[in-house]
Amino acid sequence: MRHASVLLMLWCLALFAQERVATVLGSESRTAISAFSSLGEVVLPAIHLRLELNPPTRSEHLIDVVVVYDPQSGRYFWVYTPVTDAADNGSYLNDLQNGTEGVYVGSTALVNFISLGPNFEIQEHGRRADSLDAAERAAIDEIRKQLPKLTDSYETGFKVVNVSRDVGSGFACEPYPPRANCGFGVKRIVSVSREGDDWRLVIRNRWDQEIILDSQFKLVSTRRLPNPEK
Amino acid sequence: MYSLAVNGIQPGTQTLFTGVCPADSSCMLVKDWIYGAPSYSGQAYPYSLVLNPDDGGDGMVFPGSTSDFYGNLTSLAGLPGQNTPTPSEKVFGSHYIVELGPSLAASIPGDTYFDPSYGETYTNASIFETDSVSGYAVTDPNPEAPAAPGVWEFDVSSDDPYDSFFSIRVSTNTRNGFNYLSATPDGTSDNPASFIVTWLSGDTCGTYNVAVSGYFDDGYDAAPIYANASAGYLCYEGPPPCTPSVSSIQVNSSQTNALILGTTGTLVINGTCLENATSVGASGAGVSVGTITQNTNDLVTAVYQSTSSGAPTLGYETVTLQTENGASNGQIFAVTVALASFSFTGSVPYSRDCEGNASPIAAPSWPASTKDANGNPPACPQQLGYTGDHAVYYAGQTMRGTAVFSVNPAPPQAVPGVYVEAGTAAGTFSGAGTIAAGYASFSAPVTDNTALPTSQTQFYAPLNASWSVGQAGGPCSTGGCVAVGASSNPVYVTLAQNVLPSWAMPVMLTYVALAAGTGGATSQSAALANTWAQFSTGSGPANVQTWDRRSMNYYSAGFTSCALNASYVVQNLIGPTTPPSPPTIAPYNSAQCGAFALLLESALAMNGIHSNWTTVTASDTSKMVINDWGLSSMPTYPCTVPCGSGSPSYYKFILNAATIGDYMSPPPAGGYGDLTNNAGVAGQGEATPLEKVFDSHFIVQIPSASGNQYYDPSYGVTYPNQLGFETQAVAAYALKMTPDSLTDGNYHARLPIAGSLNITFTMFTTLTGLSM
Repeated sequence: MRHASVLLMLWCLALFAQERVATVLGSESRTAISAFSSLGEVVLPAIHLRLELNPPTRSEHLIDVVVVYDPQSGRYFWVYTPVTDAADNGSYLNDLQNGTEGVYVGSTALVNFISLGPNFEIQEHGRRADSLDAAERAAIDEIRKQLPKLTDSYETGFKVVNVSRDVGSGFACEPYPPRANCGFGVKRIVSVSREGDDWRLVIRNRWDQEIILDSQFKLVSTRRLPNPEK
Repeated sequence: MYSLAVNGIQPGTQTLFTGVCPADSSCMLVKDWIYGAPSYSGQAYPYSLVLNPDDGGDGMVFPGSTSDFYGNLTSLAGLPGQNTPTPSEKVFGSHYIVELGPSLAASIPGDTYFDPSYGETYTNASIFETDSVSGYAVTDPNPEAPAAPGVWEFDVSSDDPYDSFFSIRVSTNTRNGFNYLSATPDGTSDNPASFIVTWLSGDTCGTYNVAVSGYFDDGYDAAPIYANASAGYLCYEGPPPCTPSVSSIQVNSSQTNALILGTTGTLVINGTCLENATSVGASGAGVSVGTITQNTNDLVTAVYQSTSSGAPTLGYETVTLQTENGASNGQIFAVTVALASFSFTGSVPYSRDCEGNASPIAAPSWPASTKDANGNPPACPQQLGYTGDHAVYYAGQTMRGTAVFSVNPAPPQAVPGVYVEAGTAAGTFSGAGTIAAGYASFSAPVTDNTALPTSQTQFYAPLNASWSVGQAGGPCSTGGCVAVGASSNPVYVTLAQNVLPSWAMPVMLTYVALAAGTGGATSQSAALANTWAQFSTGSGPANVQTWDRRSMNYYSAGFTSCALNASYVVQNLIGPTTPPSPPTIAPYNSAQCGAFALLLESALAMNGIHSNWTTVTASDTSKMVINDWGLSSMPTYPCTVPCGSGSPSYYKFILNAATIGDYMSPPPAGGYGDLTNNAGVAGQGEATPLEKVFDSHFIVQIPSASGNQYYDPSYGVTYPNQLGFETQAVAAYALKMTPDSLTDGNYHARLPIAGSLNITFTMFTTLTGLSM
């Protein structure tokens, strides 16, 4: 079975030898994700696929790509994650589906909130496409154009906001006994909403914590919510 | 003609009659007798007949005497008996003869009664009396009290006015011979004259026959003329011997007759007629009596010595008091005493830690406790060859305890006031206890006579105590005690009362061991130095150990989980965990930095030294990559020109995916990306700790420390400040960045940037903040 996959991959590589980015045959799937909006939770279509970078960049060979599309506004965005080996089935899609990452459908952009350790990395997306398939094609094209900088650099255009300093390590770990290794983490983004120009996020780990960001995604305030939101 | 009279002034009372005849009938005196001057003139029985009450016969035989004098009567040869010219017995209550029956009496003319003993015949009783009976005697119905020593006044006079009495001679004619008594003229008159005769105590007592002879001078014949015993017979027997009677024996004035073998002291002998005591002796082996003191006629004291060695007699022993008047016995009860156990009181409660467990020790004992509160073997038995539990005190305290002794055999009488003493290198414990009647053990609370020096750590390894008991009080240096055994307990003395907060309880023995060390510290700085020396060589870890020399290792290779606090690290346990799980031994005795920080704080707290828990984090909340690492010359994410603090190069850094746990354990199969894990820096017990990437690191700030105040017990080094930490310890900082860090375990690492300190110390100064 593993041999078959390898042969299939070789065939695909030969077929698209002239391109620097190729879809791994059979890797594409369509799905849906939950997102937040001013009206509450909405469902957005998404495509999940894997791309082979040819020639590979110095750091990655395969990448996992998720393309999210808002049919209402035609806006889309994509996120990729490196695939360390063939057995690596990690994907941003998993994080979206289990709620550890969040997407907000705004009037002017799709905004995705990525929780990375102590930070939130946030990016607004205003590009449009006519359909999900068009969004997929646009995404692959954009990835091709951004190589190799895309994967060999850390400049991704995300806005980074550190929340762990203000929330504290107790959000993720019992304060006692003290642990040297307790990375700040979010088990679930409970909600994303707008309060005027500000953003209000409710994140959950050992308890629910409210995060208020300004329109530029700078931390305004945070507080522990008395009871977990159900 | 001379007349002689005897008038008793305070005479010893005469024994006038002693006989064996029954009181209700007279005895017959068989012929012949001479009757001297009657002692009881005018009475029905005027003569004194002295017989021997101890004679197995009828009283005429006095052993060793051939005298014929029996009071006023003198036995003469008389009626012979069969084959005996003069029978030795001639006083009878009854006499048996043979009477002829009527037929024989008719056929045999003559006397009717035949007396075969004497070969006589009698016609009737009257003839019997006439032929055979000299007289009759009855027992003195009112015998006077025995005589006492005294004086007599002898008055002598003569009708001849020319006679003068210058001296008289008084002799006592006893059955054993003559005794002459001095007679001193009383007054100036020589006719009549008075002479005082003194009869001293100690003169031979017996039956005296007094003869008085007088001198007279009529001018013609100066020769003395003896006048025989006109004063009659006198018997002076003196007071009856006061037979000693011992009623009780008390050992050392205590209300007990129990004597602890090996002790010396005094036997107090109570009773009556104990005067003129000459010796006291004990029957059994182990007790000897020396000097005796006659306190009163009812009280004799005697110094005793005893030994518990060899094979002494145990239990009852007879003590014999010998006086001039006889002997009497009392009893003592000899016991042996041996130390059974000793337990400290006032010792700081602690738990004796061992691998996987800890045993609470509230009252350290000797021998070391062999059972826990439930009667099971203790989870953590004593180690290192110590026979007793560790005791823990702080400087200035006074050690106290309770000693328990076995007593063999159990004495029937209680023994109050048993003095107990134990000599140690830290003073002398002393106290007293009571052996209850019938009990084979007793206890005594004891207190050290020397308080532990203030402000000084000590370790007695061990404190040996040589126990003695005495019955005559103490101290034992004055003698009188017996050694009854020894105890041995290691004793830690901390610099001051501990300041361990309640949340960090219980005190673990390893905390104390790290605090006191080998002792000798007299200040906080010295105590800190002693403690720190067990964590640090000065430049690295000293591989700190528990009190029983178990290792505690900082992220040992192969560990899967480890101790998180002090009590767990000293027990080599994993955790504590949330939720709590059964204790599990930490593989390779591994522990985190927090455990070592709490361990140092706990050890310092034992000496009363306050410290502040300090959390070290990267200011940008990235992970700290602790030395040593090698770096690729080509970082995966090179900086963007112009490179600088705002645009450093990032190295691809691959760790385990876990967000909570160990990033380097187990090591990633594909390596660490652009970084190479080099050897070092060493942590406690581990040259290259398995974990070298941390979200937080925990160290200890010690306000009282001079110089560097930040102590890192995990690595055995100190830091002056945050910059010192970054410079000495941090190889890089690692954080997640999109997009590649969306894959778990992928990090970007950067080097510290000069001038852009990225270390924050967060110090907790409250008890709830882990400071102590």
